[in-house]
Amino acid sequence: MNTHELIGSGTLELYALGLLSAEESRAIEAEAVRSSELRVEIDAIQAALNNAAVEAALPPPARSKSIVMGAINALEQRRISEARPPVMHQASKVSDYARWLNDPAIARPENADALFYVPIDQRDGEATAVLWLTLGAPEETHTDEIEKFLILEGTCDIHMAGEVHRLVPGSYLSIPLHTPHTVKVTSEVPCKILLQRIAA
Amino acid sequence: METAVATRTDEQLLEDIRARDRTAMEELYDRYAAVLFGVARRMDPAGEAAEKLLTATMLRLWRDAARYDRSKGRFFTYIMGIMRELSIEQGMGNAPAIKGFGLHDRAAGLDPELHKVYVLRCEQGLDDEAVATLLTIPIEQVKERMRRAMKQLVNFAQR
Repeated sequence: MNTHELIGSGTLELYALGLLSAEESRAIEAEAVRSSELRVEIDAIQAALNNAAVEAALPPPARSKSIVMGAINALEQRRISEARPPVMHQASKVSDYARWLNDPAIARPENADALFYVPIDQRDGEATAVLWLTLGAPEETHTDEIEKFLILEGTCDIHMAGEVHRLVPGSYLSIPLHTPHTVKVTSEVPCKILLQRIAA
Repeated sequence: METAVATRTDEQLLEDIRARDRTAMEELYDRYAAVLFGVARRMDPAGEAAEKLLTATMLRLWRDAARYDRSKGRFFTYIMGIMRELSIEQGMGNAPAIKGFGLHDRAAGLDPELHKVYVLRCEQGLDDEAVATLLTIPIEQVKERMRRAMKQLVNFAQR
């Protein structure tokens, strides 16, 4: 069916009301891709229906919102607790960890220590945490785990094997075994770091 | 919550919901709950199923926000599509959208031959073929009458 046969035939109204078969609906959507005239017409019908709905708006019971948000909170809790943060690598991005980082429980209190640590996940020799450093961290050397950093906020320099790695938000650095390293914060704000320790 | 903070557009809300931002979901709820509940209530005047339909629609939106395709129409139309699917799953009638949009109340004003097809198709839930057999008219004529009936009903809404 072409645009002119469709407009005014009532078919678009059936479409907007969900009364066409899936196949018929797809045919209309395919035609709408080609025809801006048809898109305008469909939009006008949808707008008329939407207006009819808006005019009849009715506040739901107050508890409905807590039912919805309570269910969503429960879903999120379960999703966060079940999923394991992926092991970081050179191409890791902060957004890969958004679902854990968005958890409101991961926060640094105003009066926190210069080194503040919130664990996210720990199992099977993989530990993930968020670390806030105000000044830096003293020299460390690891013999049984690979330490990985992904910078979330602020900046720091990591001194290791005679080199300085200047890290900014989004930077990733992996510390090899048996390698002494120190961290020095270079930003005004605490440096917020996603930290992983993977058993070697 | 009444604040002077700039509100997010529907598109921004959807994007934030995709990133699992629960405040975006609250905002979306505040924006659409009354309209959706009004529609649901028309499908189910007693109200109990209506509230269930509202909460189920919101939860589906949280899960499926990423599926909205702007090129297929308005966001509100997308929400209504979800609500329609769920209402059918919940056994709330054969043509829930017609009731939900308040068009059903106006069906009595249809031309008699259109009204007859409308009742069989939308209230009794028969398909085009069954209606054709019952009225002993060609199936094409059933479809044509349904199209005219819907055009008249939507025109009522436009006025």
